[in-house]
Amino acid sequence: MYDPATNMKLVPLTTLSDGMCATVELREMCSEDCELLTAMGLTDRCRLRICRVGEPCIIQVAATRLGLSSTMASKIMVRPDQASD
Amino acid sequence: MTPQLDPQPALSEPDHHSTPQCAQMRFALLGNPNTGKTTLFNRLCGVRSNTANFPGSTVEARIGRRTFQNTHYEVIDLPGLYGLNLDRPESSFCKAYLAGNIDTAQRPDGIIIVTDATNLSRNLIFASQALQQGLPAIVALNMIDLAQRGGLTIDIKKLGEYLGCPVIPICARSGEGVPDLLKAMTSPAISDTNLPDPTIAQGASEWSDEVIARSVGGHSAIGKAGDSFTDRLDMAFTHPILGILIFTAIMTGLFYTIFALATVPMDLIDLLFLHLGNLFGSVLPAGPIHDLVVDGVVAGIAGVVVFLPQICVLFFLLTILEDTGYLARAAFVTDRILRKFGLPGQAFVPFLSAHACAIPAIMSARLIPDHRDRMATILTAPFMSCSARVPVYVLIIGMLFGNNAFYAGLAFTGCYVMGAVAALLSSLLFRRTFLKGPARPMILELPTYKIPSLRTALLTTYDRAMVFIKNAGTIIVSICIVLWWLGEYPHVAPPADAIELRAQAEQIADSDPDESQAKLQMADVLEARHAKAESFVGRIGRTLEPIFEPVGYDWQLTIGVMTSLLAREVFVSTMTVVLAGTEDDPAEDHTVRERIVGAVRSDGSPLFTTPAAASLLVYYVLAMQCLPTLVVTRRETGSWKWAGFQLVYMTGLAYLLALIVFHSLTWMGVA
Repeated sequence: MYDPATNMKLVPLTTLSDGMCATVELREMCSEDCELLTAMGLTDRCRLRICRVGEPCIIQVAATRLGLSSTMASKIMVRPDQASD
Repeated sequence: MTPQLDPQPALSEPDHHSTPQCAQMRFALLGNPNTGKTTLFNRLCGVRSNTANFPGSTVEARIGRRTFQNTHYEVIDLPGLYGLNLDRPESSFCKAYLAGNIDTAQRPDGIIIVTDATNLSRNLIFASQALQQGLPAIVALNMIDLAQRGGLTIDIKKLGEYLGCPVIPICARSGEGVPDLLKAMTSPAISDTNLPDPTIAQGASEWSDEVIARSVGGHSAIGKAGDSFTDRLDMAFTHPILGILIFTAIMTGLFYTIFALATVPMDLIDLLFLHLGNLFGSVLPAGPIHDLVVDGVVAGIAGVVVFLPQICVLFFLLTILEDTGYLARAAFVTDRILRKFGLPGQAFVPFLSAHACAIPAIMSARLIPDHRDRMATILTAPFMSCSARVPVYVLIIGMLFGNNAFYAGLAFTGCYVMGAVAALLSSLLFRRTFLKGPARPMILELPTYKIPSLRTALLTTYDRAMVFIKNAGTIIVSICIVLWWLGEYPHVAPPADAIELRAQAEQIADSDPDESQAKLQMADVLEARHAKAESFVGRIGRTLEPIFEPVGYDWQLTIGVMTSLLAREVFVSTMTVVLAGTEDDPAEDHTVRERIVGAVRSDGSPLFTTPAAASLLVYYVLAMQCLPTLVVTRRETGSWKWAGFQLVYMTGLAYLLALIVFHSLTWMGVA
C-alpha cells in the first residue's frame, strides 16, 4: 500500500487511487513496452493523473488519456505526489 | 503569437482537371492516431479517392487526388501510427515506404505530418522522427481551434524554426487553414535543424519539452487539471457494470438500426433486380445467353449489391461512434471479457456485426491493431449466426418443434449461443496454437470526446462501399456465375413423368382447364427437379453423398448443402426445387414447408427424421456456407490460404458435431 510518508519510494501504478498524481519512472520496464508507452505520450519522468483505478485503469498524461490493463499498469513504476492524495 | 487562420475555403478548385502541363507531386499524410489525419485527407481530396492495398501487402491506404495552382497532387493517407521505430507492422511498413524501400510503390515526394495542437508534447516527438526520413515536409498543426480555446498560444514561426519546415495551423474539421496548407505544399522543406536521436526516447522527450517551453504559451492549461466533462463521461462509459449496460444499449441500438434501416433498401434492391431480370428476360431470346444474363449476371450482381445497405449502415454508424470517442471506451469495457478468449476488446465490433452479416464484420476487423488478434477475429466471426441463417433455422426448427413455441424459441436461442461459443472457443484455440504469441497487454488511447463529423462518416461509408464493390464484388459475381452454370448445365431431356403429365394436360385442356393447368405446373416442377438432379451440381451431390451419409443426408440434402455454399438461404429454395414431387402425397397442393417436411428418400423413408434435421441444424449453425464471406476473408488476410483454412475448419467442425448429434439421437432412439 502507498504510504505518503515514503513518497520517495517507487510504487507500481496499480497501487495509486483515483485522482492521485505521480511521476513516471520507466527505467525498470522492458524496452518494447517502454517504446510504445513513450510513443503514446507516457515518457520517463512525465507526470500522470489516475482517472480510474481497476482493471483496466485509466490514466491521463498531458492531454492523452490511456487505458491500461493491470498487467501493464503493474509494470509502470511511479513516484506519487505527496500533495495529490 | 496566436496563429491567424484563413477563412474557411469554399472547397472550390476541387480537383483534377489536370492537364499535361501540370506538375505532379505525391504527398504522404503521416501522423499519430486521432490527430484528424483522415479528416484532413477528406478535406483535401473528398470523394476523389480510392482505397487500395499497397501491392504485395495487406497494408491499406487511401489515395486521393487534388489539383492546386497547376500542380496535380496525389495524397496518400498512411495508417495512423505512434512511432516509426516501433516493432509494429504499420511502423515498419511506413518507415520502409518513406525510405523508398517498397519495390512496388514509389517513394513520396513529400510528407505532411499531421499533429494535434492540443497534444504537442507527444506529437512533436513523432514529428521529429518523421522529419528525419530525408523527405521535404510540412507540419499541419491540426485542432488549432481547440488548442486556442484551451488557452494555448503557439508561436508558429518559432515552432517552424525548431522543426526546420513550414508549420501550418489548420482545423481539418471546419477546413480553416487548409488553403494555407495547399499553398505550403508547393514548397515543403527538408529539415536541417538539430533534431533529437529517435533511438533515445529520453532525448526526444526533453527536446519536445524544450520546443514547447520556447514556442508555446499556456501549455500548462491543457491536460493538467482534470477534465470534469470527460471524467464524468468516462466514469459512466467505463464503469464495470454501468459501462457494460450502456455498451449493451448502444450496441443493441446499432444492431437494431442496421436491421431496421437496411431491410427496406435490401428489399428494394431485390425487387429492382427482379424487374431487371424480367426486363432482360423479355428482351433476350430464350437460350444460353438469356439464361446467363438473367440467372447468372443479373442474379450475381444482385447478390453483391444486396449486401451494400448493411455495409453502408454499419460503417456509417461505426464511424460516427468512433468519431465521438465512444468506440475506444467500448473496447475498454469489453476487453476484460474477450481477453479470456485471447481476443482484444476491439473484437466486439466484428462479433456483433457478424450477427447481421459476416462480410461487413470481417471488414470491420481492421479496427484491431494486433495482427494475431485480427486474424483470430476474422477467422471466427463467421460462426456468429448471421441473418442469412435465419430462413434455414426457421425451416428446420419448425420441423423439429413446430408445435411447441417454447422449445422452438429455446432452439433458436441455442443456435445463436452455439455460434457465439464456437467463435470464442475457436479464438482461444487459435491464439494458443498457430496464432500463438505474447498476449499484448491493453494499452489503448482514449481520444477526446467530440461531436462526430457527418462529412467524415459519409465519406468513410462511401469508401468502404467502394472497397467492397470493387474488390469483393467482382469475385463474388464471378463465383455466382460459375455456380449458376454448374447448377444449370448440362441441359437434359425432360423426364418421362413430366412428358406424360404434359400429354395429359393437353388432352384435358378444353374439358378441365384448371386440372390441365395443375398438371402443367407439376410437369414444370418435375422438369426443374430433374434438371437440378442431372446438373453438374446434382452430379457432385451424388458423388459426395457418401461423405454426407454418415450425418444423415441423402443425395438431395447433399445438393442443398452444395448449392447453399453460395449463400445459406439458397438452401431453402434449392430444397423446394430438388424435393418437388417427392412428397408422400404429391397429388395434393403443398406449401413450400409442407413439401420439404413431407419429402422422402429414394427408399421411401422420411427425409427429415429428427436426428437428420437436428444434424442439419447444427451443420448450418457452424459450417462456412458462404462463398462471398470467403472472398472477403481472402481480401482482408491477403491470402487464399486463410480463406481455405476458414472453410475447412468451420465446415469440418460443423460436420463433426453434426455427426455426433445424428448418431447420439439415433442411438437414443429419437424418431
